[in-house]
Amino acid sequence: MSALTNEKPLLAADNLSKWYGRRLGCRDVGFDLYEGEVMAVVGESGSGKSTLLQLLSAQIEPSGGRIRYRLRDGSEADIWRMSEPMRRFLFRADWGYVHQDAQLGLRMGISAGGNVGERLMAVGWRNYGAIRTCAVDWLTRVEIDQERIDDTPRTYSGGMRQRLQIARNLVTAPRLIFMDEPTGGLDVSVQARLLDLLRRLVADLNIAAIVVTHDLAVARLLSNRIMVMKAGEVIETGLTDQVLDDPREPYTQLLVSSILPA
Amino acid sequence: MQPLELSGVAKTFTMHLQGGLRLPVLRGLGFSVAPGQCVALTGPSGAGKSSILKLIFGNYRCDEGSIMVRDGDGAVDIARASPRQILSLRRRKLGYVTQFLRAVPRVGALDIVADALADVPRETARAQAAAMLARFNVPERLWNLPPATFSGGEQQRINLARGFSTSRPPRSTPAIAMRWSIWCASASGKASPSWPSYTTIPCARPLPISRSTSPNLPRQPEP
Repeated sequence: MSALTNEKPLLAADNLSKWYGRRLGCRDVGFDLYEGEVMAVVGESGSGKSTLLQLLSAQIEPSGGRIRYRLRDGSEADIWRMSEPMRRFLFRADWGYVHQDAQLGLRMGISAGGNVGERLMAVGWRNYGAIRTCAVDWLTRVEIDQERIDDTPRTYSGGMRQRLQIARNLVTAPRLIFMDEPTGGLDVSVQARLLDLLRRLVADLNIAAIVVTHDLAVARLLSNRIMVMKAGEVIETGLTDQVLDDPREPYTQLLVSSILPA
Repeated sequence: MQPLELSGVAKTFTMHLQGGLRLPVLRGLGFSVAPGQCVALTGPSGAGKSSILKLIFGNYRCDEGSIMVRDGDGAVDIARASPRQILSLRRRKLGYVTQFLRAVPRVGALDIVADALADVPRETARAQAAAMLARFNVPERLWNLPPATFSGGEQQRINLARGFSTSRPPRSTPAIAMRWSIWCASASGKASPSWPSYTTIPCARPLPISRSTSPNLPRQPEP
Protein backbone atom coordinates (compact mmCIF):
# COMPACT_ATOMS: atom_id res chain seq x y z
CA MET A 1 0.00 0.00 0.00
CA SER A 2 2.95 2.32 0.50
CA ALA A 3 3.27 2.90 -3.23
CA LEU A 4 -0.33 4.04 -3.24
CA THR A 5 -0.08 6.42 -0.32
CA ASN A 6 3.09 8.08 -1.59
CA GLU A 7 1.69 8.78 -5.01
CA LYS A 8 0.27 12.25 -5.57
CA PRO A 9 -2.89 13.02 -7.53
CA LEU A 10 -2.59 14.25 -11.10
CA LEU A 11 -5.56 16.57 -10.77
CA ALA A 12 -7.14 17.76 -7.55
CA ALA A 13 -10.26 19.89 -7.22
CA ASP A 14 -11.06 21.65 -3.94
CA ASN A 15 -14.46 23.21 -3.23
CA LEU A 16 -14.96 24.09 -6.85
CA SER A 17 -18.00 26.30 -7.52
CA LYS A 18 -19.41 28.17 -10.47
CA TRP A 19 -22.22 30.70 -10.45
CA TYR A 20 -23.68 32.24 -13.59
CA GLY A 21 -24.94 35.43 -11.93
CA ARG A 22 -27.41 34.06 -9.39
CA ARG A 23 -27.86 30.74 -11.14
CA LEU A 24 -25.82 27.85 -9.82
CA GLY A 25 -23.60 25.88 -12.21
CA CYS A 26 -22.03 23.63 -9.62
CA ARG A 27 -21.08 23.90 -5.96
CA ASP A 28 -18.33 22.62 -3.66
CA VAL A 29 -17.02 19.87 -5.90
CA GLY A 30 -13.88 18.19 -4.61
CA PHE A 31 -11.98 15.07 -5.69
CA ASP A 32 -8.52 13.68 -6.46
CA LEU A 33 -7.79 12.00 -9.76
CA TYR A 34 -4.69 9.83 -10.11
CA GLU A 35 -2.72 8.83 -13.18
CA GLY A 36 -4.50 6.18 -15.23
CA GLU A 37 -7.82 6.58 -13.40
CA VAL A 38 -11.03 7.02 -15.34
CA MET A 39 -13.78 8.91 -13.55
CA ALA A 40 -17.31 9.24 -14.87
CA VAL A 41 -19.54 12.19 -13.98
CA VAL A 42 -23.18 11.25 -14.36
CA GLY A 43 -26.46 13.07 -13.84
CA GLU A 44 -29.37 14.38 -15.89
CA SER A 45 -29.24 17.45 -18.14
CA GLY A 46 -28.76 20.59 -16.11
CA SER A 47 -27.15 18.77 -13.18
CA GLY A 48 -23.92 20.75 -13.64
CA LYS A 49 -21.77 18.02 -15.15
CA SER A 50 -20.81 19.94 -18.29
CA THR A 51 -20.09 23.06 -16.25
CA LEU A 52 -17.80 20.96 -14.09
CA LEU A 53 -15.96 19.58 -17.12
CA GLN A 54 -15.40 23.08 -18.49
CA LEU A 55 -14.14 24.22 -15.09
CA LEU A 56 -11.75 21.30 -14.76
CA SER A 57 -10.35 21.81 -18.25
CA ALA A 58 -9.79 25.50 -17.48
CA GLN A 59 -12.18 26.71 -20.16
CA ILE A 60 -14.17 28.75 -17.66
CA GLU A 61 -12.90 30.34 -14.48
CA PRO A 62 -14.39 29.10 -11.20
CA SER A 63 -16.30 31.45 -8.87
CA GLY A 64 -14.68 29.67 -5.94
CA GLY A 65 -12.29 26.88 -5.09
CA ARG A 66 -9.20 25.75 -6.91
CA ILE A 67 -7.77 23.13 -9.23
CA ARG A 68 -4.29 21.76 -8.77
CA TYR A 69 -2.44 19.87 -11.48
CA ARG A 70 0.81 17.94 -11.21
CA LEU A 71 3.13 18.89 -14.05
CA ARG A 72 5.46 16.47 -15.80
CA ASP A 73 8.39 17.62 -13.66
CA GLY A 74 6.45 16.48 -10.57
CA SER A 75 5.69 19.96 -9.26
CA GLU A 76 2.13 20.96 -8.50
CA ALA A 77 0.54 24.05 -10.05
CA ASP A 78 -2.67 25.94 -9.37
CA ILE A 79 -4.40 26.12 -12.75
CA TRP A 80 -5.64 29.68 -12.27
CA ARG A 81 -2.35 30.97 -10.86
CA MET A 82 -0.26 29.92 -13.81
CA SER A 83 0.25 32.15 -16.84
CA GLU A 84 -2.24 32.09 -19.70
CA PRO A 85 0.36 30.70 -22.17
CA MET A 86 1.14 27.91 -19.69
CA ARG A 87 -2.55 27.02 -19.39
CA ARG A 88 -2.86 27.00 -23.16
CA PHE A 89 0.19 24.80 -23.46
CA LEU A 90 -1.38 22.30 -21.06
CA PHE A 91 -4.56 22.29 -23.10
CA ARG A 92 -2.63 21.78 -26.35
CA ALA A 93 -0.19 19.14 -25.23
CA ASP A 94 -0.81 17.56 -21.84
CA TRP A 95 -4.60 17.38 -22.02
CA GLY A 96 -7.15 16.25 -24.54
CA TYR A 97 -10.76 17.29 -24.88
CA VAL A 98 -13.23 15.13 -26.79
CA HIS A 99 -16.41 17.02 -27.62
CA GLN A 100 -19.77 15.36 -28.10
CA ASP A 101 -20.04 17.24 -31.38
CA ALA A 102 -16.95 16.31 -33.42
CA GLN A 103 -17.31 19.54 -35.42
CA LEU A 104 -16.29 21.47 -32.28
CA GLY A 105 -13.17 19.37 -31.83
CA LEU A 106 -12.03 19.19 -35.44
CA ARG A 107 -11.14 21.63 -38.20
CA MET A 108 -13.70 20.63 -40.74
CA GLY A 109 -11.97 22.38 -43.65
CA ILE A 110 -8.56 20.71 -43.41
CA SER A 111 -7.56 17.11 -44.09
CA ALA A 112 -7.70 14.32 -41.51
CA GLY A 113 -3.89 14.16 -41.56
CA GLY A 114 -3.78 17.92 -41.02
CA ASN A 115 -6.12 17.62 -38.06
CA VAL A 116 -3.80 15.16 -36.37
CA GLY A 117 -0.60 16.93 -37.49
CA GLU A 118 -1.73 20.30 -36.20
CA ARG A 119 -1.56 19.14 -32.58
CA LEU A 120 1.97 17.84 -33.19
CA MET A 121 3.07 21.14 -34.73
CA ALA A 122 1.64 22.92 -31.68
CA VAL A 123 4.12 21.02 -29.52
CA GLY A 124 7.06 21.81 -31.77
CA TRP A 125 7.14 19.12 -34.46
CA ARG A 126 8.46 20.59 -37.71
CA ASN A 127 9.52 17.65 -39.90
CA TYR A 128 6.72 17.04 -42.43
CA GLY A 129 7.67 13.41 -43.04
CA ALA A 130 7.68 12.58 -39.33
CA ILE A 131 4.35 14.34 -38.79
CA ARG A 132 2.78 12.45 -41.69
CA THR A 133 4.12 9.09 -40.49
CA CYS A 134 2.78 9.77 -37.01
CA ALA A 135 -0.60 10.85 -38.42
CA VAL A 136 -0.87 7.65 -40.47
CA ASP A 137 0.01 5.62 -37.39
CA TRP A 138 -2.72 7.30 -35.37
CA LEU A 139 -5.36 7.00 -38.07
CA THR A 140 -4.59 3.27 -38.15
CA ARG A 141 -4.88 3.04 -34.39
CA VAL A 142 -8.36 4.55 -34.49
CA GLU A 143 -9.28 2.21 -37.36
CA ILE A 144 -9.43 4.84 -40.12
CA ASP A 145 -8.20 3.63 -43.51
CA GLN A 146 -5.01 5.56 -44.32
CA GLU A 147 -6.27 6.15 -47.84
CA ARG A 148 -8.64 8.67 -46.28
CA ILE A 149 -5.80 10.75 -44.79
CA ASP A 150 -6.12 13.59 -47.29
CA ASP A 151 -9.92 13.83 -47.10
CA THR A 152 -11.54 16.43 -44.88
CA PRO A 153 -13.72 15.31 -41.96
CA ARG A 154 -16.72 16.72 -43.85
CA THR A 155 -16.62 13.55 -45.95
CA TYR A 156 -16.47 11.33 -42.83
CA SER A 157 -19.36 9.56 -41.08
CA GLY A 158 -20.27 10.49 -37.50
CA GLY A 159 -18.37 7.54 -36.04
CA MET A 160 -15.27 8.26 -38.14
CA ARG A 161 -15.30 11.92 -37.12
CA GLN A 162 -15.41 10.90 -33.50
CA ARG A 163 -12.50 8.49 -34.00
CA LEU A 164 -10.54 11.19 -35.80
CA GLN A 165 -11.19 13.54 -32.91
CA ILE A 166 -9.78 10.93 -30.55
CA ALA A 167 -6.65 10.51 -32.72
CA ARG A 168 -6.17 14.28 -32.79
CA ASN A 169 -6.37 14.38 -29.01
CA LEU A 170 -4.15 11.42 -28.24
CA VAL A 171 -1.35 12.11 -30.72
CA THR A 172 0.52 14.32 -28.25
CA ALA A 173 0.42 11.57 -25.59
CA PRO A 174 -1.64 13.59 -23.12
CA ARG A 175 -1.78 12.54 -19.48
CA LEU A 176 -5.37 13.65 -18.96
CA ILE A 177 -8.32 13.58 -21.28
CA PHE A 178 -11.74 15.18 -20.84
CA MET A 179 -14.69 13.62 -22.65
CA ASP A 180 -18.11 15.21 -22.93
CA GLU A 181 -20.70 12.58 -23.93
CA PRO A 182 -18.17 10.94 -26.29
CA THR A 183 -20.72 8.51 -27.76
CA GLY A 184 -23.75 10.80 -27.75
CA GLY A 185 -25.64 10.94 -31.02
CA LEU A 186 -24.06 7.82 -32.54
CA ASP A 187 -25.77 4.60 -33.65
CA VAL A 188 -25.61 1.78 -31.12
CA SER A 189 -23.18 -0.34 -33.19
CA VAL A 190 -20.93 2.67 -33.84
CA GLN A 191 -21.12 3.53 -30.14
CA ALA A 192 -19.99 0.04 -29.16
CA ARG A 193 -17.00 0.19 -31.49
CA LEU A 194 -15.99 3.63 -30.22
CA LEU A 195 -16.30 2.54 -26.59
CA ASP A 196 -14.09 -0.49 -27.28
CA LEU A 197 -11.51 1.74 -28.85
CA LEU A 198 -11.58 4.33 -26.06
CA ARG A 199 -11.38 1.70 -23.36
CA ARG A 200 -8.38 0.04 -25.00
CA LEU A 201 -6.49 3.27 -25.76
CA VAL A 202 -7.03 4.77 -22.32
CA ALA A 203 -5.82 1.54 -20.67
CA ASP A 204 -2.83 1.03 -23.01
CA LEU A 205 -1.61 4.60 -22.70
CA ASN A 206 -2.38 4.83 -18.96
CA ILE A 207 -4.23 8.10 -19.45
CA ALA A 208 -6.37 9.62 -16.72
CA ALA A 209 -9.80 10.57 -17.99
CA ILE A 210 -12.90 12.40 -16.85
CA VAL A 211 -15.97 11.32 -18.79
CA VAL A 212 -19.23 13.22 -18.60
CA THR A 213 -22.17 11.08 -19.62
CA HIS A 214 -25.86 10.62 -18.94
CA ASP A 215 -25.51 7.00 -20.06
CA LEU A 216 -24.81 4.72 -17.10
CA ALA A 217 -23.77 1.88 -19.43
CA VAL A 218 -21.01 4.09 -20.84
CA ALA A 219 -19.93 4.94 -17.30
CA ARG A 220 -19.84 1.26 -16.34
CA LEU A 221 -17.79 0.31 -19.37
CA LEU A 222 -15.25 3.12 -19.30
CA SER A 223 -14.77 4.25 -15.73
CA ASN A 224 -13.31 2.95 -12.47
CA ARG A 225 -14.91 5.65 -10.35
CA ILE A 226 -18.10 7.63 -10.57
CA MET A 227 -19.51 10.93 -9.32
CA VAL A 228 -23.28 11.43 -9.35
CA MET A 229 -24.44 15.05 -9.70
CA LYS A 230 -27.81 16.58 -9.05
CA ALA A 231 -28.76 20.27 -9.16
CA GLY A 232 -25.13 21.38 -9.24
CA GLU A 233 -23.90 19.24 -6.36
CA VAL A 234 -22.14 15.91 -6.07
CA ILE A 235 -24.49 13.63 -4.17
CA GLU A 236 -22.69 10.30 -4.32
CA THR A 237 -19.22 9.01 -5.24
CA GLY A 238 -17.41 5.68 -5.20
CA LEU A 239 -16.28 2.76 -7.30
CA THR A 240 -18.38 2.64 -10.46
CA ASP A 241 -19.72 -0.88 -9.95
CA GLN A 242 -20.37 -0.16 -6.26
CA VAL A 243 -22.41 2.98 -6.90
CA LEU A 244 -24.35 1.35 -9.75
CA ASP A 245 -24.97 -1.98 -7.97
CA ASP A 246 -25.49 -0.63 -4.45
CA PRO A 247 -26.67 2.96 -4.92
CA ARG A 248 -27.22 4.76 -1.64
CA GLU A 249 -28.91 8.05 -2.47
CA PRO A 250 -32.57 8.20 -3.52
CA TYR A 251 -31.66 10.04 -6.72
CA THR A 252 -28.96 7.50 -7.67
CA GLN A 253 -31.41 4.68 -7.02
CA LEU A 254 -33.85 6.42 -9.33
CA LEU A 255 -31.19 6.81 -12.06
CA VAL A 256 -30.12 3.17 -11.82
CA SER A 257 -33.68 1.85 -11.76
CA SER A 258 -34.61 3.94 -14.78
CA ILE A 259 -32.40 1.91 -17.12
CA LEU A 260 -34.35 -0.30 -19.47
CA PRO A 261 -33.05 -3.87 -19.41
CA ALA A 262 -31.37 -4.81 -22.70
CA MET B 1 -3.33 -13.14 9.72
CA GLN B 2 -5.31 -15.22 7.24
CA PRO B 3 -5.73 -14.08 3.62
CA LEU B 4 -9.32 -13.16 4.44
CA GLU B 5 -10.96 -12.33 7.77
CA LEU B 6 -14.48 -11.00 8.23
CA SER B 7 -15.87 -9.87 11.56
CA GLY B 8 -19.12 -8.26 12.66
CA VAL B 9 -20.19 -7.63 9.07
CA ALA B 10 -23.69 -6.19 8.63
CA LYS B 11 -25.51 -5.07 5.53
CA THR B 12 -28.94 -3.53 5.08
CA PHE B 13 -30.40 -2.20 1.85
CA THR B 14 -32.60 0.89 2.03
CA MET B 15 -34.95 1.12 -0.93
CA HIS B 16 -35.76 4.81 -1.27
CA LEU B 17 -38.06 4.23 -4.20
CA GLN B 18 -40.19 1.86 -2.08
CA GLY B 19 -40.85 4.39 0.67
CA GLY B 20 -37.54 3.80 2.43
CA LEU B 21 -38.13 0.08 2.90
CA ARG B 22 -35.22 -1.48 4.80
CA LEU B 23 -34.03 -4.95 3.90
CA PRO B 24 -31.59 -6.38 6.43
CA VAL B 25 -29.45 -8.93 4.57
CA LEU B 26 -26.58 -9.77 6.92
CA ARG B 27 -25.65 -9.14 10.52
CA GLY B 28 -22.89 -10.32 12.82
CA LEU B 29 -21.12 -12.20 10.06
CA GLY B 30 -17.60 -13.37 10.81
CA PHE B 31 -15.33 -16.04 9.40
CA SER B 32 -11.82 -16.42 8.07
CA VAL B 33 -10.27 -18.35 5.24
CA ALA B 34 -6.81 -19.94 5.35
CA PRO B 35 -4.42 -20.18 2.39
CA GLY B 36 -5.49 -22.93 0.05
CA GLN B 37 -8.73 -23.41 1.88
CA CYS B 38 -11.97 -23.67 -0.01
CA VAL B 39 -15.06 -22.44 1.83
CA ALA B 40 -18.58 -23.07 0.61
CA LEU B 41 -21.34 -20.60 1.46
CA THR B 42 -24.58 -22.50 1.33
CA GLY B 43 -28.19 -21.63 1.94
CA PRO B 44 -31.52 -21.05 0.24
CA SER B 45 -31.73 -18.33 -2.36
CA GLY B 46 -32.13 -14.96 -0.71
CA ALA B 47 -30.12 -15.98 2.36
CA GLY B 48 -27.34 -13.53 1.45
CA LYS B 49 -24.67 -15.78 -0.05
CA SER B 50 -23.97 -13.61 -3.06
CA SER B 51 -24.14 -10.48 -0.93
CA ILE B 52 -21.22 -11.83 1.12
CA LEU B 53 -19.14 -12.27 -2.04
CA LYS B 54 -20.07 -8.82 -3.28
CA LEU B 55 -19.12 -7.27 0.06
CA ILE B 56 -15.72 -8.98 -0.02
CA PHE B 57 -15.10 -7.80 -3.58
CA GLY B 58 -16.12 -4.25 -2.62
CA ASN B 59 -19.05 -4.34 -5.00
CA TYR B 60 -21.49 -3.71 -2.12
CA ARG B 61 -20.77 -1.22 0.62
CA CYS B 62 -20.34 -2.67 4.08
CA ASP B 63 -22.42 -0.96 6.81
CA GLU B 64 -20.67 -2.43 9.85
CA GLY B 65 -17.73 -4.64 10.73
CA SER B 66 -14.51 -5.30 8.88
CA ILE B 67 -13.40 -7.30 5.87
CA MET B 68 -9.64 -7.71 6.06
CA VAL B 69 -7.78 -8.89 2.98
CA ARG B 70 -4.11 -9.62 3.48
CA ASP B 71 -1.79 -7.71 1.22
CA GLY B 72 1.88 -8.58 1.67
CA ASP B 73 2.80 -7.95 5.30
CA GLY B 74 -0.23 -5.76 5.89
CA ALA B 75 -3.95 -5.95 5.31
CA VAL B 76 -6.63 -3.76 3.80
CA ASP B 77 -10.08 -3.37 5.31
CA ILE B 78 -12.40 -3.47 2.31
CA ALA B 79 -15.15 -1.93 4.44
CA ARG B 80 -13.14 1.27 4.82
CA ALA B 81 -10.82 1.24 1.81
CA SER B 82 -10.76 3.99 -0.81
CA PRO B 83 -11.85 3.19 -4.35
CA ARG B 84 -8.17 3.30 -5.33
CA GLN B 85 -7.18 0.74 -2.72
CA ILE B 86 -9.99 -1.60 -3.75
CA LEU B 87 -9.07 -1.29 -7.42
CA SER B 88 -5.46 -2.04 -6.59
CA LEU B 89 -6.48 -5.14 -4.61
CA ARG B 90 -8.73 -6.30 -7.42
CA ARG B 91 -5.85 -6.05 -9.86
CA ARG B 92 -3.49 -8.01 -7.65
CA LYS B 93 -5.38 -10.08 -5.09
CA LEU B 94 -9.07 -10.53 -5.74
CA GLY B 95 -10.81 -12.32 -8.55
CA TYR B 96 -14.51 -12.62 -9.07
CA VAL B 97 -16.36 -15.14 -11.15
CA THR B 98 -19.98 -14.31 -11.82
CA GLN B 99 -22.72 -16.82 -12.41
CA PHE B 100 -22.78 -15.91 -16.09
CA LEU B 101 -20.07 -14.43 -18.26
CA ARG B 102 -20.70 -10.73 -18.77
CA ALA B 103 -18.26 -9.66 -21.43
CA VAL B 104 -17.86 -6.60 -23.60
CA PRO B 105 -19.28 -7.44 -27.03
CA ARG B 106 -16.85 -8.05 -29.89
CA VAL B 107 -13.83 -8.70 -27.65
CA GLY B 108 -12.13 -12.08 -28.12
CA ALA B 109 -11.85 -14.64 -25.30
CA LEU B 110 -8.09 -14.23 -24.98
CA ASP B 111 -8.38 -10.46 -24.60
CA ILE B 112 -11.19 -10.82 -22.07
CA VAL B 113 -8.89 -12.87 -19.86
CA ALA B 114 -5.86 -10.66 -20.59
CA ASP B 115 -7.86 -7.56 -19.59
CA ALA B 116 -7.89 -8.90 -16.02
CA LEU B 117 -4.09 -8.45 -16.09
CA ALA B 118 -4.03 -4.71 -16.60
CA ASP B 119 -0.79 -4.16 -14.68
CA VAL B 120 1.47 -6.30 -16.83
CA PRO B 121 2.68 -5.60 -20.40
CA ARG B 122 0.11 -6.60 -23.00
CA GLU B 123 2.15 -9.40 -24.54
CA THR B 124 2.87 -10.97 -21.15
CA ALA B 125 -0.80 -10.64 -20.24
CA ARG B 126 -1.85 -12.40 -23.44
CA ALA B 127 0.68 -15.18 -22.85
CA GLN B 128 -0.60 -15.68 -19.28
CA ALA B 129 -4.19 -15.57 -20.53
CA ALA B 130 -3.39 -18.24 -23.12
CA ALA B 131 -1.88 -20.47 -20.43
CA MET B 132 -4.96 -19.98 -18.26
CA LEU B 133 -7.36 -20.77 -21.11
CA ALA B 134 -5.34 -23.89 -21.87
CA ARG B 135 -5.53 -24.86 -18.20
CA PHE B 136 -9.32 -24.65 -18.42
CA ASN B 137 -9.32 -26.75 -21.60
CA VAL B 138 -10.70 -24.01 -23.81
CA PRO B 139 -9.89 -25.11 -27.40
CA GLU B 140 -7.32 -22.84 -29.02
CA ARG B 141 -9.50 -22.24 -32.07
CA LEU B 142 -11.90 -20.28 -29.81
CA TRP B 143 -9.32 -17.95 -28.26
CA ASN B 144 -9.69 -15.10 -30.69
CA LEU B 145 -13.48 -15.29 -30.96
CA PRO B 146 -15.91 -13.27 -28.83
CA PRO B 147 -17.65 -15.73 -26.45
CA ALA B 148 -21.20 -14.56 -27.23
CA THR B 149 -21.76 -17.63 -29.44
CA PHE B 150 -19.96 -20.14 -27.20
CA SER B 151 -21.80 -22.83 -25.29
CA GLY B 152 -22.70 -22.21 -21.64
CA GLY B 153 -19.86 -24.39 -20.40
CA GLU B 154 -17.30 -22.74 -22.65
CA GLN B 155 -18.44 -19.30 -21.54
CA GLN B 156 -18.15 -20.30 -17.92
CA ARG B 157 -14.62 -21.62 -18.41
CA ILE B 158 -13.60 -18.28 -19.88
CA ASN B 159 -15.29 -16.64 -16.92
CA LEU B 160 -13.25 -18.81 -14.56
CA ALA B 161 -10.01 -18.20 -16.46
CA ARG B 162 -10.62 -14.48 -16.09
CA GLY B 163 -11.46 -14.77 -12.40
CA PHE B 164 -8.27 -16.68 -11.68
CA SER B 165 -6.07 -14.21 -13.56
CA THR B 166 -4.39 -11.61 -11.40
CA SER B 167 -1.20 -9.76 -12.14
CA ARG B 168 0.78 -11.56 -9.43
CA PRO B 169 1.93 -15.16 -9.62
CA PRO B 170 -0.48 -17.66 -8.02
CA ARG B 171 1.85 -18.17 -5.04
CA SER B 172 0.75 -14.86 -3.56
CA THR B 173 -2.62 -16.41 -2.61
CA PRO B 174 -5.31 -14.16 -3.97
CA ALA B 175 -8.74 -14.65 -2.52
CA ILE B 176 -11.18 -15.69 -5.19
CA ALA B 177 -14.81 -15.04 -4.64
CA MET B 178 -16.99 -16.89 -7.03
CA ARG B 179 -20.51 -17.83 -7.60
CA TRP B 180 -20.59 -21.46 -8.41
CA SER B 181 -23.25 -23.40 -10.18
CA ILE B 182 -23.40 -27.13 -10.80
CA TRP B 183 -22.19 -27.29 -14.34
CA CYS B 184 -19.41 -24.83 -13.85
CA ALA B 185 -18.13 -26.88 -10.92
CA SER B 186 -17.94 -29.94 -13.10
CA ALA B 187 -16.39 -28.04 -15.98
CA SER B 188 -13.63 -26.61 -13.84
CA GLY B 189 -13.21 -29.89 -11.99
CA LYS B 190 -12.15 -31.45 -15.25
CA ALA B 191 -9.84 -28.64 -16.11
CA SER B 192 -8.12 -27.92 -12.84
CA PRO B 193 -7.37 -30.83 -10.56
CA SER B 194 -6.08 -28.55 -7.81
CA TRP B 195 -5.50 -24.90 -7.06
CA PRO B 196 -3.23 -25.25 -4.05
CA SER B 197 -2.24 -21.62 -3.84
CA TYR B 198 -5.62 -19.96 -4.17
CA THR B 199 -8.08 -19.21 -1.45
CA THR B 200 -11.47 -19.83 -2.93
CA ILE B 201 -14.98 -19.17 -1.73
CA PRO B 202 -17.32 -20.97 -4.04
CA CYS B 203 -20.86 -19.93 -3.40
CA ALA B 204 -22.74 -23.17 -3.77
CA ARG B 205 -26.44 -23.57 -4.09
CA PRO B 206 -27.00 -27.29 -4.18
CA LEU B 207 -25.43 -28.02 -0.75
CA PRO B 208 -27.08 -28.21 2.70
CA ILE B 209 -28.63 -25.11 4.17
CA SER B 210 -27.01 -22.81 6.70
CA ARG B 211 -28.34 -19.33 7.27
CA SER B 212 -25.95 -16.54 6.55
CA THR B 213 -27.12 -14.55 9.57
CA SER B 214 -25.85 -17.31 11.88
CA PRO B 215 -22.84 -18.44 9.97
CA ASN B 216 -21.77 -21.93 10.80
CA LEU B 217 -20.04 -22.21 7.49
CA PRO B 218 -18.99 -25.68 6.47
CA ARG B 219 -15.28 -25.90 5.81
CA GLN B 220 -13.49 -28.24 3.54
CA PRO B 221 -10.01 -29.46 4.44
CA GLU B 222 -7.25 -28.64 2.01
CA PRO B 223 -7.29 -30.90 -1.02
